[in-house]
Amino acid sequence: MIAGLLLFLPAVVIGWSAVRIFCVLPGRPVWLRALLEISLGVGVGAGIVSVAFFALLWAGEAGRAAIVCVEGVLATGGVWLAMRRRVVNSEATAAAHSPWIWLLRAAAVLALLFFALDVSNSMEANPHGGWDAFTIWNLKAKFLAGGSVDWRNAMSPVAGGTLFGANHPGYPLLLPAAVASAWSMQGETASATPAALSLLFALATAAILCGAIAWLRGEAAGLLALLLLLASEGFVSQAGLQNADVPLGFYLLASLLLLVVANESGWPRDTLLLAGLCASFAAWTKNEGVPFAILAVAAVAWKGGRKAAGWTALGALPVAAVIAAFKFLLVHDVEGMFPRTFGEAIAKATDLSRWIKIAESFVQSIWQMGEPLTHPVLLAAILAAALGLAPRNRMRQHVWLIVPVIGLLAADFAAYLITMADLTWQLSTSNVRLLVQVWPALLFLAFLILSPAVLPDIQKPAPGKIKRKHSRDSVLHSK
Amino acid sequence: MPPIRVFAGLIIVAVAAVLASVNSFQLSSQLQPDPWSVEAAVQRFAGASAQLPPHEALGYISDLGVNGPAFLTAQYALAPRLLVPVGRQDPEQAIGNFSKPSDYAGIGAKAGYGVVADLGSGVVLYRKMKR
Repeated sequence: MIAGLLLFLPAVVIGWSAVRIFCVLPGRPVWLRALLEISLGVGVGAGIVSVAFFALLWAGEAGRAAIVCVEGVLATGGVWLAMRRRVVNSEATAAAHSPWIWLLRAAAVLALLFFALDVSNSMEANPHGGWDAFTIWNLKAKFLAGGSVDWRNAMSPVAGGTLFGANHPGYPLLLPAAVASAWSMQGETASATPAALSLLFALATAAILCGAIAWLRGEAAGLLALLLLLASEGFVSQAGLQNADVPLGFYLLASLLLLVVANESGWPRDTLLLAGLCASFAAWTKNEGVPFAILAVAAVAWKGGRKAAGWTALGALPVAAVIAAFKFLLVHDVEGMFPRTFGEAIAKATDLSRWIKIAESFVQSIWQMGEPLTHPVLLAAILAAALGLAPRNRMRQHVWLIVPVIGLLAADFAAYLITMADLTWQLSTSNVRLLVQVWPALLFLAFLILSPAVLPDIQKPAPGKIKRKHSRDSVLHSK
Repeated sequence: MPPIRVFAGLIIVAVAAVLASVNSFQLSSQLQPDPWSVEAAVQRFAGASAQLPPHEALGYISDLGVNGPAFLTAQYALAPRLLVPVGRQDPEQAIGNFSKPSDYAGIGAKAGYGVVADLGSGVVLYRKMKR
């Protein structure tokens, strides 16, 4: 596992550099900035490495030397640029720590400990991951790691045999390419490597949720958000299974956080570019990321105007181009789960019983996210009762952020409506995982509408007052 | 000191969340090891993988069909080689994946393949027979 984690260190460094270069994050407290930069860097770095490796593969140059060279250049150049961008301290209000914060810190440490043990058990029982991991994601990673001869097998329509729903030639390749890149450097396909990436994504998701809410609503609220995520059995049970749902959840959450940062800071170009990049990585992780990315740009257009949306779209453009090239030039088969004619789709979509069945399944999946007495929805309701909700005008300020998340769920609902697969089977095998994808983002949004005014710590930097010493342009052009 | 309502809420949520984590951990302790026999397949096919060329498609011959976990675990164990059910394509070499002792030679011959090696545990190496 340690070796697996070390293999992704260059990716984390690359990602951290990109975050530091492109995003204005709080300067104080230092731990909070570091937490957010590193955890965002995990996903941004994995995405960049994934795209770079895929491009090398396609160019026929994915040997170990080429990968080391590209990652080395990206990491070195990134760190050099990042270190030239110093961040001044934010104008934080004076910290007034209540001793009660230690209660939440202790609870968070305990929950993290049990989370680590849980993931360890899961990885021990499933060293190659869950069903989707070994039939889709890690299998594709093995094909990609096969190099210039075998990598196109990842788009093969027969790799899953004749089992219905087992062949996914057009599934996006962020996770497989990131794992294959590490395997290519490693010289073997050790099962600990995708397990390490799975763990990194889960921890980074938890860290972003905690850090983002701590930044926006104070440390106590951040710790409570972390506790609710770790109380979500659905999320925790997926963390060690090496599926793509937790990584997708990471990119959804990261995109939303960056959009909040952009909104709070007057829509700076750099942050919007990074938000667009994260949204495009969501689409490069799973097909569900496509509607999210489109709706994220639309939401920015609504809230921040066309110019802001344009920068977000520009940030998404490079990876969107890679996805388009992948889908149109390399994938020659369509998913068997979708109807081939419009008439088939209409017939299924107008069947009322399917609507009811899908709605019931969503409710059941929410129920399955936790145990009845400690269910995260119940805990969120208790918090809402204890703390109250934010003033209505502040809640209205966040409505636009719900659009991409609800839109994604609506797209999932529509996909179920028209699926050619047995609906009961498809719902039972995927619906909980769809909720896992949006769960961290939903918790983030829920904490934005809670009132933190009475929480026992007041260390909230003023997001709008955070400034860099240098603007991006001044850094790039200075000597 | 926060108001009592807030304090009670925080205590309840913190304790409940830790209990939920403990419960998740207990559930994970009861997980069935290797439920799809993936690790078992990796072990079973390790010998074959060492003998087969690393970058060639392989024919797949089995008494278990190609529509279930047996095919998928074999594909995972032998990747990056692509497994192709014999009959669709006829690669130079094939792998046999059997659930019980059978007439491996006879089954292979029907598909135009001869046995190269019986590696045990139902794993058989085949090569295309010359006509």
